[in-house]
Amino acid sequence: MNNMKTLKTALRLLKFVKPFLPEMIFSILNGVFGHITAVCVMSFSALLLCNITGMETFFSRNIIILFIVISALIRGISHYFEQYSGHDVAFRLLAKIRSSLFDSLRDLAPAKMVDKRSGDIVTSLMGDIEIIEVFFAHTIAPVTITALMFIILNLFFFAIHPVFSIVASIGYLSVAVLIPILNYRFVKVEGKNYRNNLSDLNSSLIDTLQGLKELILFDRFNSRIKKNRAKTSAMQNAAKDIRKNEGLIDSFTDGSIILSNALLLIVGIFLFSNGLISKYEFIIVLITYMSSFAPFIVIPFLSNTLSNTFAAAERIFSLEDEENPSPEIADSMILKESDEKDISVNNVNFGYKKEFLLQNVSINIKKGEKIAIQGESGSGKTTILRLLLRFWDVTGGEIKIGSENVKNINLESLRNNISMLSQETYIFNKTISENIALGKADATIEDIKNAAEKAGINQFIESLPNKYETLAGALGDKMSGGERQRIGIARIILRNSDIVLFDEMTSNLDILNEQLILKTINKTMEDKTIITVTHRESVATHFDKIFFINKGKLEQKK
Amino acid sequence: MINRNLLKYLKLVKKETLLAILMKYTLFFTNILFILAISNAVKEVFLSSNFSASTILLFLLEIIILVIIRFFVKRFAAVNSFNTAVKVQNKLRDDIYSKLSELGIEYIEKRGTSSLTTLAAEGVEQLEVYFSKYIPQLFYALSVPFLLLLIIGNIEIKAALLMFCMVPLIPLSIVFFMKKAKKTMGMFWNSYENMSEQFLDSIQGLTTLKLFNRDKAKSLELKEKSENFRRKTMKVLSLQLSSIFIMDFFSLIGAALGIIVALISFSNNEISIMQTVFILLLASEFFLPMRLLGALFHAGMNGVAASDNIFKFLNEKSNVKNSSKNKIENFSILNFKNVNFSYDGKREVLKNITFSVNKGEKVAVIGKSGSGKSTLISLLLRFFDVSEGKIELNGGDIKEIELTSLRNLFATVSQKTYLFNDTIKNNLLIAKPEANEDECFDALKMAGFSNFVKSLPEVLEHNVGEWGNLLSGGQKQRIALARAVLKQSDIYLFDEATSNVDADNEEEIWDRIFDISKDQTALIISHRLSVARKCDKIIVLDNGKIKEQGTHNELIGNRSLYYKMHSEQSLLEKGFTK
Repeated sequence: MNNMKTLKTALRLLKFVKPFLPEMIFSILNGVFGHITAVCVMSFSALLLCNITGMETFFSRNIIILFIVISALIRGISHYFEQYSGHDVAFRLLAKIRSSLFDSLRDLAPAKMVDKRSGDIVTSLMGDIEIIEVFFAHTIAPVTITALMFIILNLFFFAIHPVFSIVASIGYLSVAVLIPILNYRFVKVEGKNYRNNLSDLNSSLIDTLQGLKELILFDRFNSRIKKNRAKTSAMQNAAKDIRKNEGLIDSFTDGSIILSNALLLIVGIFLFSNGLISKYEFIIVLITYMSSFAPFIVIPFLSNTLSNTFAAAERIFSLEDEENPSPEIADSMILKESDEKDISVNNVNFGYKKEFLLQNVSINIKKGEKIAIQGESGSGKTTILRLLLRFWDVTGGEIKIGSENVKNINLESLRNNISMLSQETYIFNKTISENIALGKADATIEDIKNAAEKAGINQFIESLPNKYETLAGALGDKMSGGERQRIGIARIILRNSDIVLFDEMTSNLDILNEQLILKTINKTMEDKTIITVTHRESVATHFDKIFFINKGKLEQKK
Repeated sequence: MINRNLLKYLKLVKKETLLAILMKYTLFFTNILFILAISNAVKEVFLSSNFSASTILLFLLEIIILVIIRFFVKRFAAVNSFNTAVKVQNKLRDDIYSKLSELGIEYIEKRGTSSLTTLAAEGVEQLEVYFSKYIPQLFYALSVPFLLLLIIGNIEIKAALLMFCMVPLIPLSIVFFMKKAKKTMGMFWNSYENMSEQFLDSIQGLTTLKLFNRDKAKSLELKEKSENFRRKTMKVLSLQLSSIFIMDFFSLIGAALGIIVALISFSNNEISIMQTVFILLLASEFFLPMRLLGALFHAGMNGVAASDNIFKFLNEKSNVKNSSKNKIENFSILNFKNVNFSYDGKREVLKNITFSVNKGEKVAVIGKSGSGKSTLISLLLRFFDVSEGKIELNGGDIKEIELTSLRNLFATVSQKTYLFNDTIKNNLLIAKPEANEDECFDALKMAGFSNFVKSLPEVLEHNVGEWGNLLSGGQKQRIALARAVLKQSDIYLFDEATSNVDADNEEEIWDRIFDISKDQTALIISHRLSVARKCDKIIVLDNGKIKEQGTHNELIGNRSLYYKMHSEQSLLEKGFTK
């Protein structure tokens, strides 16, 4: 079962290479050529030795010397081309996969990223892409090259005497097939063990550093370090097993090569003693064989990284295979400026899994109305907003804007008409002005300053070292929750959409900041339709109508 | 390349490194014996001797013994090289830890934790190759050509000298390319960091991008970044490959020329067939060690680069000295006496601060953000030392008190308290490891959080997630409060401790805290005046100076800054009706 899955993943990865086949073949041919010329340096030297001892050779001594030098020269050039074109393919593919991953994330995004944990998983995918490089640059070509070298070398040995090719194959196959299989089995288990231990240690280390202040103040630093040491040694024990195994594989490979060299020598002596080959053939075969292992010895260590690579690829593919939870319909309509934009939610049922989170929820909101939906966390209040924005589609019932079901509205146009401010405003690591301009692509600096002024954040921005051109990342923690929310409000003011949704926008703020923010909202968004969800009484009271949601049922407060 | 700092750690593993080199030489000699056996066999073939079964058996026996020796040496070498790395890494980690405890908070307040994390986690790991592989190989690669010169020179001095002289071309070409690569490498790393940062930023903010319909534009921007990175990568790669090409070239040409010279000598009957085959098979050994060193060079240099940052950290000096052994146990009075403070020696954050806190008093410090409130606490806990003036506990300078006992006197709750990625219980036990469940619940009750915890399926064993991210800001603060209560210190320091808690609950929490801490002392920083008015004394900070201090009623009577803030806030807290 598992092997089938691995095979499928490998085939799928191979498919990516198809458009780059010519370059890949170029890389492989250069690889083969490079290995052949490397062997030729030694084989021609043996030939020269034979010539000196009296063998009739087709070429003169000087020509053979020339061959030796030329082979040495070509070897380097071929190697260069092999590596360059192989990596070129790999990095082109990575760039392609990277952007195709981002594009499939764009489809899945809002639904996929709602909770922090799945967001983190997605984030880790970026690292997975780098891991796949191993497959494209260091697996496909080397394996093919090794297979081709196996055939070419065997043809050569066979031509001299069939028995040689049998003996040679024993050596080649044990190095490039038998040992890798043994290794792959081991690495699959131990590698996982090691990675788990390592990530355990790293997260403990991060925890220690982030919480350093607490550890020192509560005088727990030393006991924490003790814990980290224990984790370190657990990680090291796992690592030790891996290193030991690497040593073992190295030893086996080395032993196999020496023993098969010796075996070939003995077989050669036997054939020679029985007059089946000449002494010249004997020495040429022997030296060729002894210097031909280079393409084979890279194979055993491939399996160290390979299981990792496939796991990474599987994670990426499984994301790309996920279905878009709210697909765009074929001839979707576009909301116009003049369209009536009343919102009506009619008998909506919705659940993420089997249980219904929302049951028969109905609510009508006229244009310009400002309502609050109050409820405990987990009551489904945020879900209503997300359904309106089509993160998901409703299970039963319908949501309409004006007379149109949201499912039939072009997604881009739908989202252009609705803005949302949630608990935490994400600030991109760009300048403050770029962050605000997110609300309107063609905003001038005057527009931006205007919006900031209205949102009550202009003064703060002007106090920054580079004012509107300050990089948000450089501010780090210096921006408070209230200031972040105000940036979010400035974006929304700039965007000027008819409908604005607030999702617990003040739940990370203290009461003073909360009231100030509410004041700002009330002042700047007088003509907008507003839906606020909150668990705080102190927020809900600011709105025209208050609805309560409890266990999926919605009721208006009398 | 060995640098001075690393040398100190290299001394730690002198024995292991010597062993590693010794084992490399053992392998070298077994290889020579193997080649000798092969060349001898070739000689016999060329002399057309008759091979008896016993000669073949003897040959086979010799090979098997060699294989066995090599087998064990290689296995042992793997363990040895691992031990080398572990020994150095553990020492480095310990050094980092002890440096952390020395200047931890001060450093983190100034620089943040992110660079420290990379340094302690990845930086240390990257040194593995340097110590376990690169250094032994360096010594081996530098010494073995001399030995080969001796061995081959004994047979054929011209070939040996020729190859010997070619060897240095390999390291020279590495150095040459290193110089060229440095700039390109720098550009490459910048481009890499830039790209992955952009990707992360875009993924984390993807929902925002989607909602503003800016995801498509971002996708195109990322494509361009990705492409740009790819081009840079290829540039670096082509440089690296060029250096590999040069190394390959010199190794192969060197070996080939050596072999050709030997063969010419052979044709002139200067050396025997056995000697010729011996040289032929051994020639590449001149170059392989250097070639391998070149392959390790890149990984080794990564380690050195990482170590630079580690040593920079290890060489940091703490300004806060823990020189006294006098422990403090009980609290009677705290005095700030004409305290001035500046982080950078230029801008004064606190100016001429003088106030006192008596045992059992609750003192509030209020003021706008940036007025220097939190700095008071940083100074009191000696994250930094005052620039001028004095802070006294029980009449003695806090600099004369042993640091751990000083910090143990206080229980602190700050605005951004860190929760460990662990259970609620373990997060509480940080304050008091021996506390039982009842004590934990009592503390949680104080923070108005016990019912919530009881409703969780795993109760106290509930995991709070990384950064406590599975909890809301208010919930995190409640655990932090409970933690401080559990510690039962003489003085509480609250720095905006309930800023994320709902208004209604906030009042209740403070009522309970005031209730249980009747005999204890508290310094409360808050910009909520409703909390401040409950205190015995209120200190109003403005721009780093004490504007006024006194009780609520006194300050209201002053009709100054406090009065103004108070009127503004009462208006807000009432909410506004339309």
